[in-house]
Amino acid sequence: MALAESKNSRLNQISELESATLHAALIDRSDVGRLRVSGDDAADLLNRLSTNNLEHLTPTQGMGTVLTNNKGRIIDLLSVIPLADSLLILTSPGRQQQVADWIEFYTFVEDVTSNDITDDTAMIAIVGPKSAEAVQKALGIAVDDLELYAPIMVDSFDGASLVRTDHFNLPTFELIVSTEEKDKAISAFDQHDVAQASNSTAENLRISMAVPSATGELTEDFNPLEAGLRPHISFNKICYIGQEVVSRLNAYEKVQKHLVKLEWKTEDAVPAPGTPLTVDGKNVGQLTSVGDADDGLGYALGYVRKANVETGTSILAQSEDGEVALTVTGLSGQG
Amino acid sequence: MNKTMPQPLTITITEDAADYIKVFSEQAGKPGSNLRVGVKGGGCSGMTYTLDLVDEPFDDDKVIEEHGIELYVDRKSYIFLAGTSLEYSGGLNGKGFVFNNPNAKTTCGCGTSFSV
Repeated sequence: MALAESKNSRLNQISELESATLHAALIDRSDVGRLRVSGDDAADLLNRLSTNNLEHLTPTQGMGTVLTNNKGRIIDLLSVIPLADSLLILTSPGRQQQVADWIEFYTFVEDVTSNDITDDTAMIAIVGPKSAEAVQKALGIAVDDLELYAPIMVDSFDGASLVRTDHFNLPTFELIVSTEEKDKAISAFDQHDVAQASNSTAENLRISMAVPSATGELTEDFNPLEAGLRPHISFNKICYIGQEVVSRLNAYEKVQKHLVKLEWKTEDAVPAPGTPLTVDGKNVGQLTSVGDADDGLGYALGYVRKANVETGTSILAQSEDGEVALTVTGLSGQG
Repeated sequence: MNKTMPQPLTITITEDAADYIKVFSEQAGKPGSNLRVGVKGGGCSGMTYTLDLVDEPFDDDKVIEEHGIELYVDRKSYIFLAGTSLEYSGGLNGKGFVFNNPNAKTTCGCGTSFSV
């Protein structure tokens, strides 16, 4: 019985994953931190604290950026989205207070105020190649040409906004609504056969699409170049905290390891996050996230020394149930 | 036994630096200006120094007078600047204004930012 239930659950997960990768699926991402940062100096301060060039922010165009410490290590990956009178900052789940504290610590005489709106709002992601079509049907808004991080208002919900983030390395539209209207929003998509994927499916999708997360990859153990966050780094902007380290690593090609996508055959033992990775008996890195995706293949993410990141490289992970052979299938951040 | 009370940490300015500010403020068309000194977030190491010629302090500023110059410092910056000596190094090889800050644990390569 338990086996049958487990099999059914697995089939559901595969079906949900197919919806997201081939069609469109709804993922509840309300656990993502949301800060409303206001004040005349908000963009200027964030520009001095993070890797991307926020001088290029416009009232209609936001961007991703990485908050780094003075050693160039990752505090968090942020999405900065301009709203009418403030900036909406999306943080990793559970990181909103840390980010707000970081901003406050570095606020001296500037006009900057942060408000945590995570609990007052919900965030629903519509993910997949047909997500624009799904948004058009459910919300009546044409978003085919919507640029990344460029928000639009959604009139059918009070004060709601929609922004394209492509968070899952697939077309991804995030609808931010009040908590009171969350169920109505989910229902609007359900009526157009956009099913809600479970949390475990979302996590498997994240890992299979090589999206770094605060649970394993976006930590102060790593820098943004190792994590594949180069698209969120400007190398010709004003100084920011950690810039000297990040720029030197880039200029002298001193990045020692990279976040890679890995696959393994699911009939083998399951390795755990944190497991050391070896090649020819030598430690070459560690696993950071492990999923359990479909078709007999498991997906994982790990940081691996640069000499061993070529696609096709075989790497061993030692699990409690024995050795697991994994294969590098690409670098995170490069599709 | 002759005990001396510890002196409260303050911000000092050397006579050379004060003299240069007087010259510079005249050249800038703002004779008699005073100096707002502060810290802001950013720079490679985390915080950078700020210097501005101003006429008056803000309401909550600490005001320090030395060598005929008034230094104005906001309360939060003061936490990171207490004990600092503001110096001036002129000439061809000079570095301009230098913050000799005992709170700075590390500085970046160009010396304009620091961490505590």
